[in-house]
Amino acid sequence: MKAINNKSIKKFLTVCAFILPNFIGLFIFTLLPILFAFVLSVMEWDSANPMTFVGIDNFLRLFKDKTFQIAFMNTIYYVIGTVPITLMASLGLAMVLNSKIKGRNIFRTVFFFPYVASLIAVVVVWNMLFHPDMGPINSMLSFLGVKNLPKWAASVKWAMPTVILFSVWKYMGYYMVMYLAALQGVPKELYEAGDIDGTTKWQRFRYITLPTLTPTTFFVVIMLTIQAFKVFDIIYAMTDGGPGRSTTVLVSYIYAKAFTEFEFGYASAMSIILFAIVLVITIIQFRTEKKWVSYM
Amino acid sequence: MKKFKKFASFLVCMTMLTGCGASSSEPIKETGAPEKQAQTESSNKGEVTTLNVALWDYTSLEYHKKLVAAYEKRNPTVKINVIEAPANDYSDKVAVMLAGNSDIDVVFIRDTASYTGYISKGQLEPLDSYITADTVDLSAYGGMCEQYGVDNQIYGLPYRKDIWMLFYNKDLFDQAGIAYPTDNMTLEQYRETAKKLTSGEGSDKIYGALNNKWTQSVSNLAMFEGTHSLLDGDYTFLKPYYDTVLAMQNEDQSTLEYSTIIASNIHYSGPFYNGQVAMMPMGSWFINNMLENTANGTTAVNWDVAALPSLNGDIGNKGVGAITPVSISSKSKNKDLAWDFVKFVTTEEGAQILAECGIMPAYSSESVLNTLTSIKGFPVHGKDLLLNTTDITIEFPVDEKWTSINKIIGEEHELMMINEVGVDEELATLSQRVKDEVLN
Repeated sequence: MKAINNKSIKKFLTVCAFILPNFIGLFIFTLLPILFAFVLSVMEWDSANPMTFVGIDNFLRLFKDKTFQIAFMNTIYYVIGTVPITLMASLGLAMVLNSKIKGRNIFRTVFFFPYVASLIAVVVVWNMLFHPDMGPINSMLSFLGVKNLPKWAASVKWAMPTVILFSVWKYMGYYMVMYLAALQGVPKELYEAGDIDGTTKWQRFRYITLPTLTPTTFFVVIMLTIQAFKVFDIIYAMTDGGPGRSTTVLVSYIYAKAFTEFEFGYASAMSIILFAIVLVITIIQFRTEKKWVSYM
Repeated sequence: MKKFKKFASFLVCMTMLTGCGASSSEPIKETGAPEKQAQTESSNKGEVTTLNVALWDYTSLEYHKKLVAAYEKRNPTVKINVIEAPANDYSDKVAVMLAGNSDIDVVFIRDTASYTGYISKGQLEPLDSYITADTVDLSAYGGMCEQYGVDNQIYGLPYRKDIWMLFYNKDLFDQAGIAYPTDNMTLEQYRETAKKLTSGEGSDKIYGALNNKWTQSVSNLAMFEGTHSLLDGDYTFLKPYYDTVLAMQNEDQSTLEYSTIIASNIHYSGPFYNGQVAMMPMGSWFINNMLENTANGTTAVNWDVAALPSLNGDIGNKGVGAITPVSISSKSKNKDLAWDFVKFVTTEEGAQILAECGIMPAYSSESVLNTLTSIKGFPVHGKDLLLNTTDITIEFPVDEKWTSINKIIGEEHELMMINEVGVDEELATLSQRVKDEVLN
């Protein structure tokens, strides 16, 4: 008995030894900072002077902070804008590029390219394309007879749609690849059975393709939602939250509070709120999973 | 076998750990100063003391190199270890290093926001006792040193100074047959002159003026008068300045549009170098840029400077600008030596070196001014203007609240400049926001 115990302990320790290096990294660079953020959210701290405990003051302050409310609404706007459009665009692309069209490998590469291209470089190109006066997009629109051309990223009304458009363009290729993989896995027999039953193209898509893709859709929706809530890089590179506060989102406000105004406590409180929102939405998504996701 | 397993797991651990260690610490690039001379001289005299100096763009800015080299030449027993970072990342990196108790001795201050930040965190040494002990004459800094004080204490002596002035392209004035701007130009005259100088269309258009995208392109026209404050939450005094600048942009179309500057990411210097802009309010650092770029052939513009336009045209000896202080870290182990370096950089000797490079030193004396203005190509009217400008207001207040206020001003400035909101309404919003979000 004792010998077995000894052996299993040794085995356990060996396993630990293998996990340890990775775990140490995770612990120091991920877990500790997360825990620290929770502690900071009830503190006031400027990174040099000692922390002072302020209780829930930071959270109460959020309710009175207009910029936080604006950032919150902008984030929701961005999420509602990007998630469905990216989902549909990537599914549509995958459907088209899964059929036997000429040069589909080239097209697949072309649509995947934005995802791997350097963000800053493509932002510069986009800003040129969407230049209010000299950009080709507006030249084209004015050629088509559009009056009151949108000023895109340089106007309060159009800045967020521009950012959303960019985000969809950049990420649809990535999710397209996921859908492509899933489409390969749809059993041929189902389509054959459908053919025998005399289904239309639309019926095949609606009753065979879509249901078999639901596990992928579920995954894509969750990833997209989380990604959209924590958007920062695109905003920072394209508009830096402007004009005014029209594209300031939660993470860009957290960043500004923490790293330009050194209000780490207040910024942490905001990040806790963001964490809570994403957590709740993800839980809801998992709860409703059974209702629409079918695993064959 | 078991032993081998143990050994293998241990090995894996160690290699991964050391791997982590190597990649996780990314030190700021440290550049050894040109030290050959100092070292050879000092090697036979004995011990060398190292002074850690945080400085941006050391490798690319000639005058930073010369300052350090001159000090080392004068003090062979001192080795300056320059801790360098690119200008844009500099303040953040220094903030992190100071917070991490690094052994920085001397800190060159890049912006007032980080300056007040360091002071509120107790990271800078008050210099008053050193100044009194060595009887440094603060009047040589044109009253700006005191304006950079916090709670009546001085935390840094300035080595550079920049005064805002109006740069103008003489050729464009000659072509249009218009008299050059004087030091008593009013805002109204500025607008009228710009309108007359504007001609052409599209990419060949000549703009009468360029008001750069910064908030201070407008606010400095007001701060110039020395009676306004950007801290008290009432910004209605900016109205005539915004009205003029916006009228130039929208009605006269005599300035490069704000949204174009932003969308095309235009640096203000380009259009001026190309001779597309007749007048441009800008800081005196641009003198140095013009000298360099004339020398290397980038620009052939025939230019001069005048005082900024003002509301009433009667500005006397007033000016607006900023200084760049040099401070000592409160954690420095070599404070006396650090002070010696700071004093060298910020008084006559350092000032002469800067002046020779065409940089305006904060320290002002007749001989320094002579050195500066006798540089080949220095603007004709520059010397008079500099001699005459003795009462200088700082462009941004030195206050802890400024970072937050500045952010709000920046956001609302943007909305005004892209014509989203009217000036009156916008300045009211700005005042309200500053009161609600910062001053409450």
